[in-house]
Amino acid sequence: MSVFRQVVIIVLLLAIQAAIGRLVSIGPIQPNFLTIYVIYFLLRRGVRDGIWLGFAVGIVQDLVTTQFIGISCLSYGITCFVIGKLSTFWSGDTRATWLGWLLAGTILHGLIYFFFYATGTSLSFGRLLLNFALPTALVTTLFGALWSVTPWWRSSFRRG
Amino acid sequence: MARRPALFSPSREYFALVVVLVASALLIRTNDAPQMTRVRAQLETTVGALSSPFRFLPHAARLWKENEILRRQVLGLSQENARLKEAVKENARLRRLLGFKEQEQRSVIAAEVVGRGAPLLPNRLLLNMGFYNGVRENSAVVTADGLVGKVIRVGPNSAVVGILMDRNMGVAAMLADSRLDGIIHWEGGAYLYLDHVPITADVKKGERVITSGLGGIYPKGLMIGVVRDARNASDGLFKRIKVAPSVDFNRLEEVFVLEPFQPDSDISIFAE
Repeated sequence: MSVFRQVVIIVLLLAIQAAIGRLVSIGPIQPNFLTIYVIYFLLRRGVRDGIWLGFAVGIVQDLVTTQFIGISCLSYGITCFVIGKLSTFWSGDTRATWLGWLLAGTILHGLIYFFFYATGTSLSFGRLLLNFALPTALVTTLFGALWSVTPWWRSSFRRG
Repeated sequence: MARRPALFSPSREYFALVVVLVASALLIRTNDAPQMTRVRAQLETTVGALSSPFRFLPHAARLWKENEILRRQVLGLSQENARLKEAVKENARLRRLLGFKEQEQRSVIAAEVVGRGAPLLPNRLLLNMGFYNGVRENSAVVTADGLVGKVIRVGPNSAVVGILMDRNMGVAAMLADSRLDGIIHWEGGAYLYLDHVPITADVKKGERVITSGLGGIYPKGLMIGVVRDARNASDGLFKRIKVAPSVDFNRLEEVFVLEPFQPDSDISIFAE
């Protein structure tokens, strides 16, 4: 993969996320364009490249938007590994496959992220999941569905 | 030999995972490093600049200047109103003791929200004003509705605000009527919680919760929210007070950054 190209895409996606995300948000819930890209890239290019891209997206996202550097990298890295490995057992070049893995990926990313985010605080992990992780996963999947009907979407996913 | 399932096959993928896990752990350890702060400021400025062309999308029909002037006026009136309400109570209490001590008028910097935090948890705001515009770390950020949060990082032309709905945002607060102090914090839902109010306190639903001025970051009297519910906490010592925030954090477009708060020295009052 061209590193430079990916860096440009990540920074552009971050800018779009920052500007457009809130325009299409439902209350505090907004689609995660970066996750859509990471899962799409993972399914297209395989686990190893997906892990590296997930890590890169996570670190940039952490640096720009969150308080703790490292949590998004960690959650994206693990998510890409798990979803990438599992997708070797159930894959198919269909929109349903894409949306299924996208939903699973965003939920898993949310689970891992909020587990670390809530650790050692009075925050309720369950409340964070219900209020943020699950709604975000659904809204992100909805936007993933919209992405899948655009001409830029390719359904030839890699197996394994 | 039978072919092993892909899930268990040793490969470079495991190596990549291990590297990512180790690197993430190391990054988590370097959170407070000054180099990180510099890198973050640069990236925030870049993202802020790149997203600026999109800022006008929802506001095409607005007259920006007039809007800002009106919002400034609303903020001023709102602050004045809050101050007057506070003053009535303070007056009665302090008249007997010390007399009146006028609150200083703080200058404000109008800033536009150009981005939000992580898509998963939008508890950070990216502002289009930074160090060169007079924004400083730990400045309180408000709207006409009340307290939004505080500036946690400042870049040359941008700043990051941590809103009240964040795991580390404890704010010294008080109940406006009963004058009882507590700490406002967030637990992951749509409400805030006021802690450390004694179980014997008479807390009424609808009572206003304001900043107490303790802690040295937020000036006294900024509106935080209203009491939605008050129950006895399980520890048997304090109340658990649910507070509905007065600010709608999902609809923030413009905010005002107050100049850094200089807490008054109460000792000087008694020395006079």
